[in-house]
Amino acid sequence: MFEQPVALTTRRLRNAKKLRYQYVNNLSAKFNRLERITNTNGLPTPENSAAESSENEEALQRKKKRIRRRLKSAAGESYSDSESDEVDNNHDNEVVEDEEEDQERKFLNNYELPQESFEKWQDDPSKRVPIQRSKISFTKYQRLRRHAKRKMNTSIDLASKRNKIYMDTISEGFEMVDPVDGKPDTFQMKHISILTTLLHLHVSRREWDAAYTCFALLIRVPKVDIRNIWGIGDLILREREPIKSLEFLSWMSSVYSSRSAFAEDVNHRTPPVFTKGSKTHVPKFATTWMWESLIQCTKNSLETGELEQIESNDGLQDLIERISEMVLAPPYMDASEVWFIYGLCHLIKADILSNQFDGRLAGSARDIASNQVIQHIQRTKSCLQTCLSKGDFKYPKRYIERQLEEFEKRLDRQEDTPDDSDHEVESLHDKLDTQSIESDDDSS
Amino acid sequence: MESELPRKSPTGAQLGLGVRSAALYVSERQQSNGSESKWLGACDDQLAVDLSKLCVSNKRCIINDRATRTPSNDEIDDDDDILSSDDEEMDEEANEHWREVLLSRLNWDRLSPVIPPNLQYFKDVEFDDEHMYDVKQNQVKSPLDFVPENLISDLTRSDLVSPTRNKGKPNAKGSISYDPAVGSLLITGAVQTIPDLRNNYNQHHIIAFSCGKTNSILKIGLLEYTSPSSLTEQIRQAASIQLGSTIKGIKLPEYSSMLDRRSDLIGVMTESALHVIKIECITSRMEIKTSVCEPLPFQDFSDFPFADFAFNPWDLQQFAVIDVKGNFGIGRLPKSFKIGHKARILREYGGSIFDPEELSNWKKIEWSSSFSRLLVMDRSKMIELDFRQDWQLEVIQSKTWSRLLDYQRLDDDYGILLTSREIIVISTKQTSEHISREVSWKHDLDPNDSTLRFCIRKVNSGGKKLLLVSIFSRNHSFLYIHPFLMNGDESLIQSAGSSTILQIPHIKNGLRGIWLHDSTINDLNESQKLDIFQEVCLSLFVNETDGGKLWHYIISNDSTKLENWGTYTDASRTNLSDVEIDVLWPKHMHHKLDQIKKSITFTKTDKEDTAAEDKLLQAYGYQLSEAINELLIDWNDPQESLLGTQPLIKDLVEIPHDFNLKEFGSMLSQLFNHYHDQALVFTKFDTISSPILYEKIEDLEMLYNKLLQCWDLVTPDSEILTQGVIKHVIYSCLRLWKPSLYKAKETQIFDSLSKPYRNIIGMWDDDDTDLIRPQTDTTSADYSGILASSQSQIPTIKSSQSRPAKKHRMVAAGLTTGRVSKPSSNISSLRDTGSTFSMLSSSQPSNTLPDTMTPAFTLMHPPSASLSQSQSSQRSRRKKKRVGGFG
Repeated sequence: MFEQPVALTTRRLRNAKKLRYQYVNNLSAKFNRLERITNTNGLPTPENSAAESSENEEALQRKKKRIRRRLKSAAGESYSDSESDEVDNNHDNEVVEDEEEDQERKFLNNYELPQESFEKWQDDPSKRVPIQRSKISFTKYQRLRRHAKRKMNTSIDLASKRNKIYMDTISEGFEMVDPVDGKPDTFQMKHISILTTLLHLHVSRREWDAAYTCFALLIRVPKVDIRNIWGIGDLILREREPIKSLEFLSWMSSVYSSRSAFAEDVNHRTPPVFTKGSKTHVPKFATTWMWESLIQCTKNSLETGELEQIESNDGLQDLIERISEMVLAPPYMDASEVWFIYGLCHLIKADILSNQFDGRLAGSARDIASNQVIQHIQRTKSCLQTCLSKGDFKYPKRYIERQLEEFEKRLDRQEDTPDDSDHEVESLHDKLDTQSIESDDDSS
Repeated sequence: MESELPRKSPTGAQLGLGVRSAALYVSERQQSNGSESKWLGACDDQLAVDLSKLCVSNKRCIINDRATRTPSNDEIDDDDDILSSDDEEMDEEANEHWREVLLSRLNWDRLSPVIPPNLQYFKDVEFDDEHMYDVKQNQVKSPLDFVPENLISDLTRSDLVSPTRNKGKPNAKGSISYDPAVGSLLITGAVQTIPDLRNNYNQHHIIAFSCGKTNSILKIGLLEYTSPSSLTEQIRQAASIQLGSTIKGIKLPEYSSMLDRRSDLIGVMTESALHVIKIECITSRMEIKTSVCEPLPFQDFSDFPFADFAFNPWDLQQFAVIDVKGNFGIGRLPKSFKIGHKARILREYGGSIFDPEELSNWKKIEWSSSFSRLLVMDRSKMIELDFRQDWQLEVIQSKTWSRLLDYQRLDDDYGILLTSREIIVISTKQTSEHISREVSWKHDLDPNDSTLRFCIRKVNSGGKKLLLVSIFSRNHSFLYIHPFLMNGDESLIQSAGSSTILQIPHIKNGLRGIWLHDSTINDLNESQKLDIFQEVCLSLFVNETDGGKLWHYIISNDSTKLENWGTYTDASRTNLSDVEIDVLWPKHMHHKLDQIKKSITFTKTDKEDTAAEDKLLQAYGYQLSEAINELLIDWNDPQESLLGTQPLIKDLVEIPHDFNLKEFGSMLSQLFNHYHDQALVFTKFDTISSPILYEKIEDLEMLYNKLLQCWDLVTPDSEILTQGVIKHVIYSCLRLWKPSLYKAKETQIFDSLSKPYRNIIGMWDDDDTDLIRPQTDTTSADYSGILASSQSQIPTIKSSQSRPAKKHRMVAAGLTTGRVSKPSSNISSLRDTGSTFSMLSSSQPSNTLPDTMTPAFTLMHPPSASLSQSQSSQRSRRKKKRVGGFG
């Protein structure tokens, strides 16, 4: 019932996929041809022009890909080994699968492979097009279908019985109840599937020790890619021993981060969203590691009293230093989230320092202390500025600004009076949920 | 905008197990109370509601009729044996294994009689073609104007049909493919009828579901609390509506919160049309009165059947439909639901999202952020469009890593999208330009499973709103529940803690549909709402994948509630004939079990006291013989009616509670022998044993031992159980009668008859074969063949030749290989005697015929008054009586 941390491939599935892509490609090719025929007769409509533009893009993309491929061959296939395992190429029967690769790639070449999320999300109003008014009719659809089926008669005839049923099912618009056939075909797969189920069940029941055992067993099975289940592992470790969790994440991000570009022209077995990084995509384990260590730092600084302040501050300082190194190179350089974290690091530092700020200090010591705070505030601002400049990150800007102002005000205070903290909390609520006060009034 | 959490703009917060996402540092928060952390993030572990305590009740109620339904039309039974699961084979293997073990141990024939393949139980019946006798079907065939192509190809290419199919073995997994366009066939929700609105009454909660053989009947029931103490609602009444075509989806319109009212409509999509049903009123006696709008057939809209429909939350009369290939349109409902008023499609607002690359029939249409904006989706894309401003935008393109599986509109501000990888909360706020991702949760469920769907339920939890997203699949019976948390004014939505997995008991093959219902959210007033803190109690309605039964469970985090939840009492279903208490454990069954237990324990305790036992038995024997003697005297009186001629032994004398079986057997045999001289006949043990063991055993102890071996495999208390069984069997079967008595009765009755009847009987009695011959000659050759075969075949079931041969082989095998494990020397010796005995018995020709077979028409007793009946019926009547014990 759960996703398995290995790429499932059996010959049957591969053949089924091949058949599906072949059928789909045939359908869409015929459809495009039909549309074009009607288009030449009709007047140019916005849809047509939109289609054309997309075709141009397609052509452009294809060209780009060709160039990339040539460059790649020039570099002697010097793809990093972290990606070679993603590529769906089985050398032993490459010739046989050549066509399949073609079909799948032919299909996917029309689409962008998103890295940030599983789907491509679009919220740009400028991409709006008029509603497509022409409806599909039964006769037209039958024509498409007949054509597509006819073109792949031989491959359907050669297909296994199960795949024939699969083709019949999907071409009727139905779906398979269990496309994978339910049964793992090797003992190893069986083992993996049982362990995965156990792992998830134990996590959902919060039995961390048992879950830990499952996790430990699972990652030792060959073929299992730890990148597919790092999140669960991190959660288990976090519940058992938080320090280990940070170590694990930092190990993950140092080992599995990649600076090479994301290869769009290969068939990936696993989506890169949660599992991989590339030149343009900061892996999720890296950001999780940053957030996790940041949260850990604030926790420490509050749990341990004033005495160990220096030590815990060092943790934060370490983090700041590490991030400052990371943001020098891609992908972190262009990642707004990393810049935001960097900004928050300074913000927290400023918060701690301004809280520690002793109003009774005077002279140069006072100047040094206040300068430190101001420096961190400045850095926060500049980091957040960089973050904003990337254009894809939103945060409550005014709220952070007010927080920074608050820190600055603390420096002017003579004596630390905690009486206005309550007021602050209220104002926070005020700002965060603007309607909460009204609703409170309602209930009272 | 200030209230927003930090996030990346197109993706929002992407969460999963162990994954952190952007959070906001709140410096002023007080750490002192422990619960509040300094972070405000998309995932709030601190506020996590502990769902791990949630449980599904073990009890359940059945909601719909028990009538077995053929696999509903949304599933094509392409081939049901390909996926026959391992378990089933295992089960069968295990059964076979145990049977073999049993047989080898007992030196028996197979437990079930070997039925010759050409045996015909009934005569061929020629049905009259007269239309008078036609079965009136009240279901119209769906007016599809094309034959599905798969049907034709199935018929022409027989290789698709697996040869194993002919075995008729039902597939444990159900069918292998399904129609994804079938939505939820079971919903609950609140309705407010117009009289309710006028009189300012509360809303009613209803349940609507499909049932019937072809899934074409819509039933509407009322959910209500019968008493304030009851935990969940009960179903009261049902209105049922025939729709004439397979139902593919049921929906209740959810109006915008601005309108502040509930709908009184139910939309039903069938294979052929869209029906809208209006609930006119719900009377004080809880009767539902409905009126049905004239259905909108899909031909009026496009060439393809409907895949989905939606009601406009802002406009009570507007709806949107989409067909299986992606053509969509807007329609208007008529103002009044009278005959002739029909919903119509507004031609100016149509369109299509047809994509040749998308094969699945799954399409969905739902209203987005405003009254003219729609979300239209198929498996690989979601398009937001404004049909008044005439634009569309592909907001989601999922051609690569994931597929869209389900979408549900939550309220005016949010919708929830399930993809094969994530649960995504989508904001459909009117203020924003387009829909956007808020929070997503990677659910880690099998991405290949396209049958995943979900249902959402809002639960109040301590001033906040808890959103339970429960994902289910046709492939397994687990519920994956993930909680999201909304703050009071729904401006902030967070993922609350990690998800939980519940298994729904009793269901093996997966869930076709589920529906969570929580009436507390609406029925309780504000002060009570605060009281339900962290306590969840929901009704769960489950639609099984196979069998088509609907079940009612409850889900709660309070175990006492689960325990206390009683299944429906009889009173609550007085008017709803098809609400039934769970058939698995009827209430009287417990009583029976208790009785049996009691009797067993009683026997157990007194077992040692053999001396007393013997005495008891002696006394019993004495009493019995006295009673029989009295009976003999009574029988001498010729006026005694026929009824008293075959008394049960247990009716004569009160039975002792327990006995030594051996002694009892010998006592009985003594008794038989004694009265044999007086021409009294008792039921023989072989008559008792043959229906139980398909074998004639003339010794009581043998019978006991054989039964004991059967039970021995099952339970440690086999001895006591077997004794109990034997006792009960004997007492309920053992009769005695005097054959000579019948002779007298016969003549007496014969004399009392008038002459023509006497002639008939005389003729029949003399030569019955002559009477049959002319008949067979006149009837067709088939008939005689059947007659002949049935006469010749039935004895072969238990023919005398086959048994000794088999036995011989068995014994030989046991001797040569030593494979037969003998449980105890006692039993084996007994078995030896048994086998020799059965050898002996088989040599007697009179025993070769089974007891159920009358040796060709020897009239044992005169036919009773019903002489006008045909011969065949008389024959059967006599056969029946033989079973009763005329050994």
